Amino acid sequence: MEEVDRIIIHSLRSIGCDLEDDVQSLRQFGTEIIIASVVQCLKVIIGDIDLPSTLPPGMSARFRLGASLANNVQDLGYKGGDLGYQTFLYSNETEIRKIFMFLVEKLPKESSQAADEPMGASVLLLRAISTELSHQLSLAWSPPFLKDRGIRIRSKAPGWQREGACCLQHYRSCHISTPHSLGNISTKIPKELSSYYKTHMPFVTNQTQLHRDTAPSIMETNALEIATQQDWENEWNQIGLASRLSQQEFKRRKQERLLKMIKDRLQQDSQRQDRGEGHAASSDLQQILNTIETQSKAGVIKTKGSRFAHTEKLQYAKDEEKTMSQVGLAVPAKDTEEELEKKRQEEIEGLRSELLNLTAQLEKLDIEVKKFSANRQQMEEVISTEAKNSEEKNASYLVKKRTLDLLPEAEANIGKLQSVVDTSAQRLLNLAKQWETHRIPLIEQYRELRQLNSKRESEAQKKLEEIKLFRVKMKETADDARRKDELQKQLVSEYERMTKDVNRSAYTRKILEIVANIKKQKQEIDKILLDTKSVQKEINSLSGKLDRTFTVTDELIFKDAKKDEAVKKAYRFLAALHENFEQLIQTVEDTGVVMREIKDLEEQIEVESNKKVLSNLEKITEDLQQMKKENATLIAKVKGK
Amino acid sequence: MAADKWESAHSLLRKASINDFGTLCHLVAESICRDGILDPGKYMSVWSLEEWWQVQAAVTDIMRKAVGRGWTNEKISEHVSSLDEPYKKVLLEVLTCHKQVLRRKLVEDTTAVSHAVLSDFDWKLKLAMASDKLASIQEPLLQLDLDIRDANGQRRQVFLELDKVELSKLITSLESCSKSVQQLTTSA
Repeated sequence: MEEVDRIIIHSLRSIGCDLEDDVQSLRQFGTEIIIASVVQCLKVIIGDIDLPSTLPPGMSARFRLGASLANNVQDLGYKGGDLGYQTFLYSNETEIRKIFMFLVEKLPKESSQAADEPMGASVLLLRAISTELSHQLSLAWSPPFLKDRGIRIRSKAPGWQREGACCLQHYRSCHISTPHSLGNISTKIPKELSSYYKTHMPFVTNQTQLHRDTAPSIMETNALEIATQQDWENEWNQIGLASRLSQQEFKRRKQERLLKMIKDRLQQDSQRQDRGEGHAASSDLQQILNTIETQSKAGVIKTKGSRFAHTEKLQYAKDEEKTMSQVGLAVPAKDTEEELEKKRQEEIEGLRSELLNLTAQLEKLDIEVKKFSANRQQMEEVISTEAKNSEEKNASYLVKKRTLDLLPEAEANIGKLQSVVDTSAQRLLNLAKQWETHRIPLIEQYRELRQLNSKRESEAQKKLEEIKLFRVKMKETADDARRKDELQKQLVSEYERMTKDVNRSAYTRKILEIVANIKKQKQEIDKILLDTKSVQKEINSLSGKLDRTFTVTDELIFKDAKKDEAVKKAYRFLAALHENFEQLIQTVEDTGVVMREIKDLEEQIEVESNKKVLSNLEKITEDLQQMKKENATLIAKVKGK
Repeated sequence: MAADKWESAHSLLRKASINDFGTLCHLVAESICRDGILDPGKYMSVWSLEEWWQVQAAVTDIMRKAVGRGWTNEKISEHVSSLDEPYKKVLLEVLTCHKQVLRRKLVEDTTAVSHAVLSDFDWKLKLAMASDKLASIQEPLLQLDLDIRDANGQRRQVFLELDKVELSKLITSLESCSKSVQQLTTSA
């Protein structure tokens, strides 16, 4: 019964009945609690019901409440005996238990319905969001100065939340330097660097300008490291492994390639620009030349200009002089204007003729230089051809000299030469043979090595492919593991959610135990039944035997009784004996019946005593008196009016 | 010009002890790397404010030059020949410590030559649960904050709010950008 009580109390709590923590069984329920929880149950089951959840003070109102509760419960289909106001107001444990069991069964089963739905991640997320929001909404507003940096800590559903936007900040990061390769003892850190790490390097928390940037900066640095590592791994897997270089080598090559490319690009661009500029420059040069030419022509024209131009110039000069004098600067005029002009003209003429002379000389010299250089080239060519000729002639002279030297003893020399030729031919042959003997094993070795090499290459290729395969597999398994981890997390969260409900497994275990107990009891009952049946059989057979023996003895003695007086007496005794024994059996049976009745009565007494009749009776009498009083006051009121 | 600056600063540098000079060099190097501003308070007892600026400018200058032009140790010591031997040694040590970081910083500065550069970004994922018209939308929205630095060093923030389609558009365009960059790097 304890188990049942616990289930009932748990489900009553879950629908929002205000029960105290130390309530463990229905025996502790008072009238108030019973009424409140029944009303709560009815509200949950039916929905819109107009019942007060507390016991009203007036007796008649109480009576009416009890009656309406009884009606409602019976409307729901309760068939556990007679139900009335007294069931609730003057409760007894068993009836109340029956009613609560009925009501708990009738409660809508939200949790079971929800469990049937597939619990996807999105559903979980939405549910989490909605619970969080409902928690946040249920809180009352609090002024901002009560919240430290906008954080508000909840006590009810433990946790915290941010409120308001006054304390939000940008997620801003900057570079952070940390000691490198400290974890690896094998790599040696330079002395300066280690001393820097030891004495000067600021802590990470001091490296940012604003302290609140510390966390983002650290996270960013970490993410950057991971990203570069991943990038490198990808590249190494895709290109690096195939190139069959060591990592450093690969990196170096890549760097070289990039640098070269950048250089090329820059050079191309600059060349293009140069060309453009060259055009511009050349055109500029042309322009400059043109302008110079025109200027010089203009100069020539000027020198050869008419008198008009001279007078004009003179006039302007006069004007200038005038203005000069007006300004107040007295220019000393030693010579007259015309003399000056003449002098100038002469000077110009002289200079011009000198210039012309000089240019003519220069041109001449230029031409001479050109001539000389041309001559020089020619001479050089001649010298080289002569040198070649002389060399050839030298060579031919040497040959001829040898032959001439050999001429006097021609025969002998020819023989010598023949022998020399023979020996050299012999030697050549020998060398060729030797070469052959050396060559064959070398060639074989070369072939073998080549084969080996190709074999090794193919093996390397195979191994490379294997490595690639393994890497792919590794990634797949890692992905798989991650996915499974996620699934596990989801399931764990789901499981945690589940355990908050009724402790299902415990209940099923209890139920199974109960069923097993019932089975055992049934077996025992069967055993007892068999026993009683066998006893009854025995009794029947014995009584039959008794009857038969009695009739036999009765007949025998009756036959003899007619002849003998003593036997007659014996017959009478027998009859008396039989009667007495019958009476005895009867009394034994009677006592059995009485005993059974006594047991029944005892049980009934127990049941009745459970019903708290006395206390209930007292309550009833009290209530009756109260009612009477109320009636009396009402009557008095009516009469008073 | 730079040599003059150095000449005038080195006499000031002598005022500081060798240890102070070491920490100063480290601090200057770190401030270059982080665009940070140094707090002169610690050295106020050694130098006046004006002298401090001079010293700081000189050290910054020598560091930038030494790393940017890839000078060898001999070249550097030649450049700061008027400095005492132990000071020179300290400076060289500091430079070897920070060489890589300084170089990276200089390269970054050089690559950021266009008129606006993305210096930082941040994102938040939001889930719009409902609107004034629909009871349940459940549309994920991405807020993208771009921190943009102008040519004259001013920071400007651009905020974008993107839904799924817009985000994928942005990502594809960025991916095509990165592809073209990769083609540039691998074509050689």
